[in-house]
Amino acid sequence: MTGHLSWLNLERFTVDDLPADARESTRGHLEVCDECRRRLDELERERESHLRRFSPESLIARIRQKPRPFFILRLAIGLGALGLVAAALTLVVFAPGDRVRLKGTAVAI
Amino acid sequence: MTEDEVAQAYRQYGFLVLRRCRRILRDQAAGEDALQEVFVRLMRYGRAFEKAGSKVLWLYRVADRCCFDLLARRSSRAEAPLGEAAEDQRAAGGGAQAIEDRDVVLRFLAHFDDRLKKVAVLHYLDEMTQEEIAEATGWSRQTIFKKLAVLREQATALKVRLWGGSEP
Repeated sequence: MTGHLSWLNLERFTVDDLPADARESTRGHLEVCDECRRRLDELERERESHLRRFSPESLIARIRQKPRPFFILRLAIGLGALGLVAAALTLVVFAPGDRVRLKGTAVAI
Repeated sequence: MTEDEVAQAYRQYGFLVLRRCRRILRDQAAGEDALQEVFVRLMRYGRAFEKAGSKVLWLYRVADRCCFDLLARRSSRAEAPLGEAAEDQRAAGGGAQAIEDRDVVLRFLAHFDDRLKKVAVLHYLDEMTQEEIAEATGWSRQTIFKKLAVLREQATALKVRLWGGSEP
């Protein structure tokens, strides 16, 4: 695009994610291009500083703390269902008896 | 995937994922949140990762999705139309330095729809050509051409709004 390797290309190169032919042409370009070598060095430095700052152990610990998928939704549905059952029971226990309407008033029989 | 396998993938690719998330979100803390989310998804959908031809491209697709979700949540919390956001940006300073389409588009990424976001990231962040974007997305070259034209138009309009009548 600009005569230099794209960032994506360099990023994949640093972690050996390119197919063999692309890897070879990238290596060839890096031998003659100072700017792309500078970018590659920048990526390598980022990799080192990243692992110093964010260890895999701390990531795993944070993942463990995260709720499972749909946990909150399941919890909400469960609590909602419990509420409905409680409301139904309340109605059954405390339901008023049959009513007979007499001229706009209600009288329990 | 087991925790050990996720940790191994993180050792190898974590810095690239964080780098991408940070560049899309333009924020270190938000980038770290997205990084964590990517590896949570890796733990859940690890089988697809193992089968992927390119691990980096697989992780980047997931990272893009996580970042777009975060951008959508962020913009729904403080919803501002593109024009107003540009005014805010101008009010915050920034000056008329030689700014490129790339900087403007990435700064206002949250305001584009998901397809435009995807093309913007592939073109301006990954520096892919139209052919490469068409291949990566499965969309026609014509579609990519049109979307890039829309992005350039938006960038020009934003630059005019930010820095006055003439482009910086």
